[in-house]
Amino acid sequence: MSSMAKQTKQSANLLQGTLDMLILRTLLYGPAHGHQIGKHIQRTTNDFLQMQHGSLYPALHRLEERGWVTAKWETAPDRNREFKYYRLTEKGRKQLIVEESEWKQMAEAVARVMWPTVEES
Amino acid sequence: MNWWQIRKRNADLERELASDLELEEQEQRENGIPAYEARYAALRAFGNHALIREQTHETWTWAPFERFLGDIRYAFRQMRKSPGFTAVVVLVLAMAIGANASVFSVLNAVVLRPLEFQNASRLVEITSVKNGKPVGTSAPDVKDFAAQNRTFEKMAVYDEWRKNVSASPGGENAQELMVGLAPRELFETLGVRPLLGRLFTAEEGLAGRNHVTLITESFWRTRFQRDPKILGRALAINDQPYTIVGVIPDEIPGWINASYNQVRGLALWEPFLPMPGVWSEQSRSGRGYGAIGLLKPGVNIAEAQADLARIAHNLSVAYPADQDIGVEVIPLENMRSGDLKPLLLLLMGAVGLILLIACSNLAALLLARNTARQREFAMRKALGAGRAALVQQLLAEMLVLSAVGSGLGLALAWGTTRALRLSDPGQLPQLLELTLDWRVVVFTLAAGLATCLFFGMAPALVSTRVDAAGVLKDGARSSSGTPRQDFRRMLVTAQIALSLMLLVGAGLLIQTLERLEHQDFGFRIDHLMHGELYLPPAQYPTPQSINAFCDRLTERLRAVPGVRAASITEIYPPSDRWREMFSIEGRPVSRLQDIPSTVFGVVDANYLRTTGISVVRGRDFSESDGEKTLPVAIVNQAFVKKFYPDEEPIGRRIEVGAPKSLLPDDEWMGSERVTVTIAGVMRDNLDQGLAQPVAPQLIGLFRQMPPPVNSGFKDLLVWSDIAPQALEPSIERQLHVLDPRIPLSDAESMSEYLGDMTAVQRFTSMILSCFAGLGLALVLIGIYGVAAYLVAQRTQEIGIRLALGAPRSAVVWLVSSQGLRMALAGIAIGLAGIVLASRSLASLLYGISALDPVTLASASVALIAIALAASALPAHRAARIDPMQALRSE
Repeated sequence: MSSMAKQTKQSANLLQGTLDMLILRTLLYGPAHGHQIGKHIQRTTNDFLQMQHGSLYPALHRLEERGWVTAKWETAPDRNREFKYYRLTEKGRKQLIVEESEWKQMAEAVARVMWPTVEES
Repeated sequence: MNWWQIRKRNADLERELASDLELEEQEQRENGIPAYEARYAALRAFGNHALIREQTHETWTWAPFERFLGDIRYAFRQMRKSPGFTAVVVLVLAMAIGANASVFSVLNAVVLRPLEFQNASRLVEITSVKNGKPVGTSAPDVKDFAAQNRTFEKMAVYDEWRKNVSASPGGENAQELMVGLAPRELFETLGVRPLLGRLFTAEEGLAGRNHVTLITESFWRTRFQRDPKILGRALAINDQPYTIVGVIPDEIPGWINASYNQVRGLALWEPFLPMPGVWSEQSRSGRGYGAIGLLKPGVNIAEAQADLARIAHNLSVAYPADQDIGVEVIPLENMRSGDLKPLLLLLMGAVGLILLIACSNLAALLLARNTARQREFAMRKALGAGRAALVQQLLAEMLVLSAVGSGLGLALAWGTTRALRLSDPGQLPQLLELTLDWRVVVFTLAAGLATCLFFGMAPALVSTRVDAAGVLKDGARSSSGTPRQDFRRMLVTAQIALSLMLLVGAGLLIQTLERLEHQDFGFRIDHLMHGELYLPPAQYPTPQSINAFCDRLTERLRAVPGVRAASITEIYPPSDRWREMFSIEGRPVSRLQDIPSTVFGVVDANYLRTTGISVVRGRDFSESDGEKTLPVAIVNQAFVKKFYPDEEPIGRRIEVGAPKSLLPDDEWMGSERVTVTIAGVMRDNLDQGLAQPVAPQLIGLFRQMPPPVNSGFKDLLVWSDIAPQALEPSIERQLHVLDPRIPLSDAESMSEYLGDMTAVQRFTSMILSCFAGLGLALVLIGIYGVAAYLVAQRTQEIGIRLALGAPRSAVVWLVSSQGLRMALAGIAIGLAGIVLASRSLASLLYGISALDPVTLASASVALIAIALAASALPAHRAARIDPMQALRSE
């Protein structure tokens, strides 16, 4: 059990920040359940980012633990059954801004290293 | 999110996953996948369901707790898998922890638990001291202490008297009870408030106004069935009517007056007026009263002591009666433990040693078991478990074991304390308050937890140091770690040392008891009965009436079939606190501190014959020594040795009572003095208790003494052919023929009486012996374990030795020498420990040194024998190893 935990922790570390940010960004449109969030990210990136359920659910629960999202079972407007809807909290909104700016800095920094000529011209 | 919502949270996750899986399936169908394949496609797209669940769990903050629960579950599974090991561990733990909790609950009841009075921590006992010994206080002294002190809020003097109490005003069916005599201030000092009625008033402390009484709740319940209209009713104390003015709760325990140390508290109280002139100046030397004080808030014992010492010093300058009299302030809590405290601390230490022995044994057991589980650990490690995870799991197993063990231990302690309270092992009044309260439970759980952490950690750390690859390749055997064996040997050596200390302690205490009970008492014990009676002054106001009653009673008792001799006396062996100052004719003294004193007592003419004390010189008392004849006395050999070392004592004259020129008011004689002539010398008999040397003693005849000495308090001694218990009814009948209102109380045989005197020692030595036995059993298991392990580990080596021609005796020696080495090392350490503890041990012993060579040697030999016995079976097994087989299995 603990061995598995160890392995996922390592691979998750690379993705974690990014995935959290994508989920928070997705929820900016309004409440959504896990499946919708996953599909949304997948479709928006034209299937470039294949959503792994193995990372999606731990991420959702982690965000909930931290208080960035809240969850509630609600009836979907178009279907006659309940889904667990995630909703962005005020804290989550602020966190999204922080993460976005961090990501921007990171991307710019990486870009400067990778394509220095582009920058100079 | 709280951990107890774990189930709800789990269900929630399952529901979420299921609903999303369903959506996925629907989507797959919409994408044109046939219905029967859609579900599998959805599952494939979803990935490993269990893994998702597991990973999600990890994000919850209580994941470590969940892992811990898993470990606990696993631990229970392990316990079920090896019931033998589990049973041994749980039983050893339960016994050690149960023994600890039992002793702790006694300590708790006697020493630790706060007194039930309000302001208990500020209550103190005040006593005057003479030559370092407490002698009680006198009423005038307490009055001065109360008036002049700066550190006390309240202070009160009180006393306790044997009196004949009857619930009816006429005095029928009287029973002898201890009656407290106390002013209102005593109850106020202790914070005792009446349940009904009121406390005494100040005027009720005056003669003529003092016929009022306060009864306790239990007396109210047993005698008056809690009659709510009890106030104003009368009862009889010594045939005098007393009006009940109040009912107080049963809060004042019997131990509060150390000189009586009664099993039960007092039944009723009357105002403090033990004698008409108690507050007058003549009574300043009349010590023996109790005094209780309430310190002002913030004052400590040392300050109060210094304050009263200052007053006592002034008193000793101002009054001859107070010369050389000091004062001592003792926290009231200390009075409760009395002489039990040192023995209890000894027991607590001993039972702590038992816990240590048991735990080191458990550690060794765990170590051996963990060694056997090397393959399992290696496998877990190979699968990726970290060392921390392994340690955590082993500790969880230990925690489960210790929880089960502590639970059982607590149940055991509950049983023992109940048995102790119900069986009432002699005169230990404090044990009446023995219960398991929260302190005991907390102590037990803490002991269990500490055991788990302390003795589970080391084996866990040692045995998880596994080289996974090595173990899995070669099998468990190649991982034999010598450091691990060293650790076990160290544990067993420590056990031997601790057991030796227990064994020596038990041995010394048993011999102390033996010496106390079987020494030369100097008086008869078999077939001797003792009882008490009190002739109240209302019916027996004069010495003549008392003498007449005693004569008639003696006559009647002598006629009872089975009675060989009967004596009415005011003292009886082996101890009496009565001491008297005297003057030897022709040897005047000029200073108070030079006045000689002796153990004193008054008896009748049959005393020596009844108690079996022989006369070694001169003559015994005789019936012809009467009120009109020359007063005579008999002294013991110690008296002759001290005061007439080179002279003929017979015929010498002695004035009983302090010399009038120096001290006009004698404590017992008052202003009376009697000059007696020594008529005989009796053989030395114990006169200061069982554990004290014989002191000089002088006895006279009460009929030849003045009224204050010839009092209504009489003791009865009967020497008989038949069992004393069988005699009691007929003696009581004879007494009631003469006066039906006088009860016979405290009737018991001399052997019972002496048994009560050694109850504390017997109690302690019994328990200590049990502990020593337990310790030895644990040591036996410990040495056996190490030896058996040695044989198992070195089977091949022994096989080779045998194959090369080593004699079997050499193999036996190889195994048993190990046990012997551990025993010798343990004995050396244990002896050093005893030398360190000998100072505190010596105070509990009588007639034997704490370093008694015979005891030390026999305990050492016993442990060596046990070491050899424990190694015998493994050694025998080693010697029978078949070399061929041992080598083939290599």
